[in-house]
Amino acid sequence: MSFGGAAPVALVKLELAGFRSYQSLAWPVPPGVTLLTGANGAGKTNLLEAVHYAALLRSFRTRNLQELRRWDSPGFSLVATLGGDGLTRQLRVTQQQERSLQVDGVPIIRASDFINHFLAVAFIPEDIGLVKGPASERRRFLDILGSQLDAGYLRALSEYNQVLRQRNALLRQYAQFGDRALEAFDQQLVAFGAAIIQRRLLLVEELRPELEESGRQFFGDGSLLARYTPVTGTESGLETLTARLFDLLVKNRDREKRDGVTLVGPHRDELLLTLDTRPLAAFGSEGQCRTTALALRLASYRLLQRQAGDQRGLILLVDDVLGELDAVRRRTFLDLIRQCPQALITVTTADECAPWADQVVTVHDGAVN
Amino acid sequence: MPLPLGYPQPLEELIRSLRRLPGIGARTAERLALALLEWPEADLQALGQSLSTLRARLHPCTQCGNLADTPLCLICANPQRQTELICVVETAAQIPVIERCGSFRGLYHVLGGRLAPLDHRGPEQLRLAELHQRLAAGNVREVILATSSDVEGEATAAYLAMDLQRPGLIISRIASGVPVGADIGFADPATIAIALRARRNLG
Repeated sequence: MSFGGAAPVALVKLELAGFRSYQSLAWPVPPGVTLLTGANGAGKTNLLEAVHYAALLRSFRTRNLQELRRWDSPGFSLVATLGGDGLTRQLRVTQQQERSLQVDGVPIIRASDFINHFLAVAFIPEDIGLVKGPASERRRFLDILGSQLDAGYLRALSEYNQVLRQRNALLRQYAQFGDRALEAFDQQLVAFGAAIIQRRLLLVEELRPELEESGRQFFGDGSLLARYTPVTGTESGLETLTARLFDLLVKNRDREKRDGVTLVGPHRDELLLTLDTRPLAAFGSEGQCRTTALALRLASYRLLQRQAGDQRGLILLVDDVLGELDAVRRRTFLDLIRQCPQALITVTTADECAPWADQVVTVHDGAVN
Repeated sequence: MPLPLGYPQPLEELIRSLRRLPGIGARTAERLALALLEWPEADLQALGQSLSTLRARLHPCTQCGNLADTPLCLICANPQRQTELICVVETAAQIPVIERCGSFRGLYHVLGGRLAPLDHRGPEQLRLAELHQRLAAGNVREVILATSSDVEGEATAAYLAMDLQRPGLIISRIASGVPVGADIGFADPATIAIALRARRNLG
């Protein structure tokens, strides 16, 4: 429920124990734009990582959970408290031998019921991989954004991945299983696959105006476009997509049996990024690619803000990205995020960016001042 | 994790065994073991006997694969059951779940698993030959597929729907949808979508 004048939902407190460099920390997270300063290795990025993990149960730096615990600690715990709009909500992750999750003290079994209680978008130097890297990075970008906007997307995705794993295992042992068992998995592969393709088409359509705007702001006249190019073609009716995907499976059956892997479906699709119709992955300069990655993240941030930010809270995390931009683009970027309800930005020295921030805090020796 | 308390070997063995049971933690296992120590000798002997002969006294029902201590399980041996109706389940443990509802009067068939290529479980590992035999005998009118509604359960149902087809046989799938007695406001979108697709005509 929303009351006039009530504060929007935001992260109000972050508590860490045994997480990365933090033995123990209770930090009241301020609203508005916060600059985090401090020497290299002081633990600035660790704070952003903790917030990201509380929102998505995934780090932006590593897939290895062991790296998240402090060297002298058997595990870690992390509590993120949300407040505003007459609501408080406490999200708790405890990682010992096993991970346990709680929302307001109630144990949560499935990760999908825990994540996205609040929304986080991280800008990191590795984002250049969104443009230069393999298609899997762009698919992951779409999948995370889609899941943040719509829990049904996440469900379809995890079901699809499970069918895909089983079907690939089947193709590797095809001789023992036979055609009928393969067909039994085809039905679900096609159903979930078509659902994902349809959602991605819709998502990219929604992202388009945001990306065009970000593109204009960073590139001036240049027209920045993202086009999702599913193997089925882009006609978005679910029945058409299902039928086409099924046809393609049948067509590729012999090749799939020979290669022992599923060859068509949303797990192979590409999100094509172009600047003035030229594909950036192949023709973009280093600077263009970095700026495009930034524009993509900014576009996703704006889409989330427009569709979900008010109800769930949306936090912007910027790690070490500003240093890579030229002075003009840095100023453009800071202008653009000036109005965002909550942002954490790491910088080595605050001087230049300080005018854009609501507060500057110093991270030193496992403490935040 | 090593046990922190220095119990003598026999107790420690017992505690370690009890801990392997579902829902039993270290503390509970300890309490159970100490409680057993207080039991009269005869009761302990009886429990030991039950445990040591458990496997020997149980076997799969020769017809449906349910747990039994006679050639036919209690359900297959019951002349009141409708023999023209067979409900196919993944494991014997799912039979009591369906029995508890009290409204199914047919027979069962236990597959002994489901299609899961990742675990190297294919059609060969399911009790399909036995099911085909039962269908060939001729008086079965309908097969109800009651596998789970996750990826592997649905694939198994799809496989069976193809594999069991024969003239005159109805093959049906149990419905899924909004839980009975629940507010529709708490159902997730995927469940609602399935429930809408499988709606019934009341008019």
